[in-house]
Amino acid sequence: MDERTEQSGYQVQGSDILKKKIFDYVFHLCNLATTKETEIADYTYETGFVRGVKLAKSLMWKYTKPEIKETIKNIYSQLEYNISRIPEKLDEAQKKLEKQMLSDDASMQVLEILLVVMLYSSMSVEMKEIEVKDWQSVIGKARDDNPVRIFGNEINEKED
Amino acid sequence: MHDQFYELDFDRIYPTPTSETLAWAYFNRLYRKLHVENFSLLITFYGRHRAGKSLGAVDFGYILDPTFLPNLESRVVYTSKALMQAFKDIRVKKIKGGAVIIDEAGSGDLSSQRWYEEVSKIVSAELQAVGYLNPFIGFVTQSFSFINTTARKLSQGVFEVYRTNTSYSNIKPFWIENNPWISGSYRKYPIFCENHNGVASNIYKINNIKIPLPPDEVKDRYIAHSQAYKDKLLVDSEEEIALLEFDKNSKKVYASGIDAIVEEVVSNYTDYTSVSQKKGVNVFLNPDLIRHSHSDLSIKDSKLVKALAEKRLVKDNKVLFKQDVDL
Repeated sequence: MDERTEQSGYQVQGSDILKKKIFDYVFHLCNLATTKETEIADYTYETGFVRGVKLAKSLMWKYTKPEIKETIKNIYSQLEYNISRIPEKLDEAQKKLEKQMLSDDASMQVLEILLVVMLYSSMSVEMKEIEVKDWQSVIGKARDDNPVRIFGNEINEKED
Repeated sequence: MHDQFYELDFDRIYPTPTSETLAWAYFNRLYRKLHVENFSLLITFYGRHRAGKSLGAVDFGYILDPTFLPNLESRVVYTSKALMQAFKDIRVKKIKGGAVIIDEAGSGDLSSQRWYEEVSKIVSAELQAVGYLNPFIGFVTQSFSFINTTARKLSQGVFEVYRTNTSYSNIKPFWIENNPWISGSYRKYPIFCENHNGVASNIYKINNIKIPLPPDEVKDRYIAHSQAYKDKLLVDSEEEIALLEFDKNSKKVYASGIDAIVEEVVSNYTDYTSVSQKKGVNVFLNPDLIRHSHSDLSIKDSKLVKALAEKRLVKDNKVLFKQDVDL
């Protein structure tokens, strides 16, 4: 019998490679976030880290739930608002520093959220043990023509 | 200002299922396969002796089929006759998703080598007959090597049962998938995930089912039922040993019978001689003539009688072999 489990890596799909790349990229950003930031060019206040988070957000968009998408949108619109409120009287160098500070802070918030999204997204597979604790509750829940909702208030899509 | 995003929000959006809620979902999935999606379910439970295979299979029947417990004695079967009866009962009563556990597969009335071959025929035939009622059939066997290719394809799930303590058994719930492009099958764990507004969430693979001893009413009835079979198995074994003993004695009688025939052939050897003209003229004992007089002998035994008799004759100098005779 040709026994192979899905963990054996016998067949690798294109989407699996993409997921791995996204993982790698987000961890690269984590690394950037904890080391000295580099400016990309003179004409922009954005650092490599800030731009990287924006790109990672787009890569992860497909796996991000609507509530979290909304929060991320709010963070970026708040950033724009805060940037627009930087006093005009400051000189260019100070303005740039102020913008960098605000965008770095917002990007950190987004990255933190992206990490949670990534770990709970369909990209990550978790091995779970199930346990029958109470016979009556198992029988009561199992013998139902409608799907049991394991995640609380959501409908499950189950495969086997 | 945007709303601050707290850990609490993550827990609301990504609630982590407990092992118990996943058990509900898992058994509900099996139940819906039988009762909503109109599939039948064939699962093989295997593992070492006393690992809890049978009780595990009975647990599955108990959870999935409401009619299993009232009919436990007729649904846990050990012989092909009982198996047919269980299917007949399901058909007559039109029980949807009826569970039948084929316990001690390989030690029943069909020998272990032929067991799956025979049972797969019966099960295939019965599935045609009761297929529309979507039965759940659980095979319980000690060794996975009993399972031949046909039966492997028959089983949708192969559950490996093991135990590390006396409170519960562990089951590895493998589904068997066949690959039509390359001739082979592979195993995989059941997968659960959440889908929320088209966004899939964390994938959970079920790699172990912790299943405790069934409630006393189920356990006691099962033990009494299986003990009756095991007692019968003991009586059958005694009978079989007695039969083997009888066969052995018969062989002894038979051997002494051959000696008597040899004695008779030696005494009247002229009645059994033939002449061959190949490579000169030879006189020899003809096994066909021996069989003609002793019709019970097989060809093999007649040759044995010939060999023994010739040996005796040579020893007694009663006949000369490979000697020219005057015809």
